[in-house]
Amino acid sequence: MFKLEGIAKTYGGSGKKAVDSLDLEIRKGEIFGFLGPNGAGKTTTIRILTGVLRPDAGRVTLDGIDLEREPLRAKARFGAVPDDPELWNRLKAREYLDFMGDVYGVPTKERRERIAELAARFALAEVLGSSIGSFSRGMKQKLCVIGSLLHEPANWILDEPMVGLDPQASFDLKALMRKRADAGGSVFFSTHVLEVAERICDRIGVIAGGRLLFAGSIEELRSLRAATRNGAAIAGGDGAGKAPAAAEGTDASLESLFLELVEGGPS
Amino acid sequence: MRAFKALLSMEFRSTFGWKPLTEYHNYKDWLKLAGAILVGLFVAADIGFLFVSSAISQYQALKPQGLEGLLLLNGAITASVAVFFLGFIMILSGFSLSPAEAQLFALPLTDRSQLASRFALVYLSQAAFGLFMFGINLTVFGIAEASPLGFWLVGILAAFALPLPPLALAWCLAVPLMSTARFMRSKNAVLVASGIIGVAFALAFNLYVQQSLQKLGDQAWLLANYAGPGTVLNLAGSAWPPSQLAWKALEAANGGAWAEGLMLAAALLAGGLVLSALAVVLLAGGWRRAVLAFGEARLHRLGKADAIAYIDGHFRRHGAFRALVLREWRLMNREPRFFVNGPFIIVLLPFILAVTYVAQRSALGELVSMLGGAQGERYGFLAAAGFGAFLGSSTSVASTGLSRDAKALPAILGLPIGAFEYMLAKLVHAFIWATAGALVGSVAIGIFARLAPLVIVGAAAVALGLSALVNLAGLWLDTAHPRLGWDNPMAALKQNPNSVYVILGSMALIVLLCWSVISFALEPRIFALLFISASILIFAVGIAAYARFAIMKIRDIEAR
Repeated sequence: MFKLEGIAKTYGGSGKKAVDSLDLEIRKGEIFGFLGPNGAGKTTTIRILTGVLRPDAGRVTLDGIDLEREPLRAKARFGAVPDDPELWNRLKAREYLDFMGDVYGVPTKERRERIAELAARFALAEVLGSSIGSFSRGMKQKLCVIGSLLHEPANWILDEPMVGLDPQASFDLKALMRKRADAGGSVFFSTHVLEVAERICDRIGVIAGGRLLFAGSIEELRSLRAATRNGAAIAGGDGAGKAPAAAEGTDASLESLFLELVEGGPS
Repeated sequence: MRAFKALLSMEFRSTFGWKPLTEYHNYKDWLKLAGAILVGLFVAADIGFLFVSSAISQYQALKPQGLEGLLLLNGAITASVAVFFLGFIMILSGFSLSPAEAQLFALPLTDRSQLASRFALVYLSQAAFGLFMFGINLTVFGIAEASPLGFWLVGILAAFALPLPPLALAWCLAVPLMSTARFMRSKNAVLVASGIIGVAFALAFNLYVQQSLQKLGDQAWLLANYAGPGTVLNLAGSAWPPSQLAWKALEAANGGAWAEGLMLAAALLAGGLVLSALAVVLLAGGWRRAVLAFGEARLHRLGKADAIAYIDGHFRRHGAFRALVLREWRLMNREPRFFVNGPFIIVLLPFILAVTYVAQRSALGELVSMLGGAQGERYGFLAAAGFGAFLGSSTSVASTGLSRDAKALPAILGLPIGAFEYMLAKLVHAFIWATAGALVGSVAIGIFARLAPLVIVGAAAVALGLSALVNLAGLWLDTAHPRLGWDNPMAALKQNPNSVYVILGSMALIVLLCWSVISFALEPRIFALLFISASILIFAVGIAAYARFAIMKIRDIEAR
């Protein structure tokens, strides 16, 4: 379970808030999709959530552990898949996974079992002795996924995880996310692929210009939209929102809801 | 033609990072340009001095034999050889850009125009070296002989034409090599091959220049190498007709037959252009195939049963700190751009010194023998300690530790790793190389100068102590001012000012060390003992303070 309270971040020298007054809670047993246009603040939020960036204000807790006060304990509670898998090209796949296993202190027996299971699932078992530099982007992405799950984290954070994956791997990853959420874990991921968010997320958050526009289920977003059409103020979901500009029924796709929310269109 | 110009402009910008003067908008841009010009002038003046001295010596030695014209042939051959090797290296290195270059094949451009633009890029870059080398001999000869105007015109034409044939030959070797040899289709292979050729060429050239300068006064050597049909110079000239053509053209022009000279130089230029055009036309297809095949992923796949055995046999738990040190080791030393510009100095510098010693044995031999005697023990000790300390301090491992990791920081900082452990792993990695450098440097000089074993041990200990302090200081500097915004890894290492400051700082410390031993007339053994004790104390205080600093600094890093 993650909790972000009053998070704000301005990059040094820019003067512009990358994230502003962000409150968010990802509960146990849910998949939370984090949506937003380019430069909205998604990656900054994920970097604050994973302890990579220090927020200017606010507090992050993972399973009740304060990330600022006990960073190592808090970081051991999650597994993270970065947005750029092109970082470890000089290592072999085995060396990368052993590195991750050693950092998280995964015992030998469990390590071998999990690698065997996950590498078979993502079709990487036969290339574990190869250099990561010889992998395609999708294979690197799969390797990062395996590395993030070696210690069986209760919380899983993924930044644009579907990029570069083939249909089978994408399907397997979504199934794995569902499985982990059903087992009581929390899954938080950012994506541009709205169909994926619509299909697997229990709740979504929409961010633009560093501010959270909406947080709740897709059904809640549709209801809000319908309510706005009838002239009611938006106060639903988990977060504050702005009024969608157009409304044409309650069964609109997430794509049109997203565009209305973020850009005030389609008109 | 417009497409060709656009391609050439793009090639120049992407290869050298050059931009037109109209794009210089602020004082920083102008300052950088002025700095680059100054450095260029300094380097040209430095190397130019060597070449001018060599050319003048050659002229003075050859003139009494009536062989002064051979200075021109020597210049033409030297320039051709240099352009061939440097051009070959640049052509090979160009294949590293293949992933980006392959995208150009989707544009409505012929393979020939693309290869022609690359050929032109290599020519414009390498012809400068040829002009420089040939131009110096030409100028020295022309001034000394008070040559007529025709000589200078023919010389300019020949200087521009001379690089074309060796470059055509370099392309004719490089393209078939890259399209047939699978092992060459990776950046690593290209970097290693270019590096080996470059180092071998530089060393051979160094040896040649130093030996020539020493032996020019030896008439027998001069006649054996310069005069007559069977000499090295004449054989080389016969083997490479363009250089002989340039020589004949200049001899003719200098003798007053400037029309004949001009015709010969024009023939050289026409021949060069025909060879270049032929190379472009004939190699375009092969070059395209080589570019497209470059970087092909070659995965080592196991069978299913083998994969299970592999997992059971290879994965096992170790400590987190060991994992961090191993990560540092592998990411730096497996990246040729990092390794060659970093720890490789431990191999390269002793090798260069050995070559210099071989070339100037008579001059240096006496000096080295003085170091080993009882009188010179202190100087021998200082030479061994100083060289070891320099090698141990100049690997740039610590002083670029955080900068090199800039791209990986977002992934690393999200892991449950303490900031100090993370940085300490970098220091341990640096110490491994520092120890190797300190031992190689001090033991090599110690054995070479025949120092007593105890003196060598003392020198190695001092070298190690100084290296440890410099590496800690280097890591501190890079933690305080890391270079995190870069696209080219070279910016993190070779172009990282921290690396330069540390190398210069280590030199200053070594000078200080020598000064203190000589000024206070200290016995080497006593000095070693005192120095090591002080080093341990300073290091202990330093590492404790650094730990606090690193934790604070890493916490506040804005990894984007």
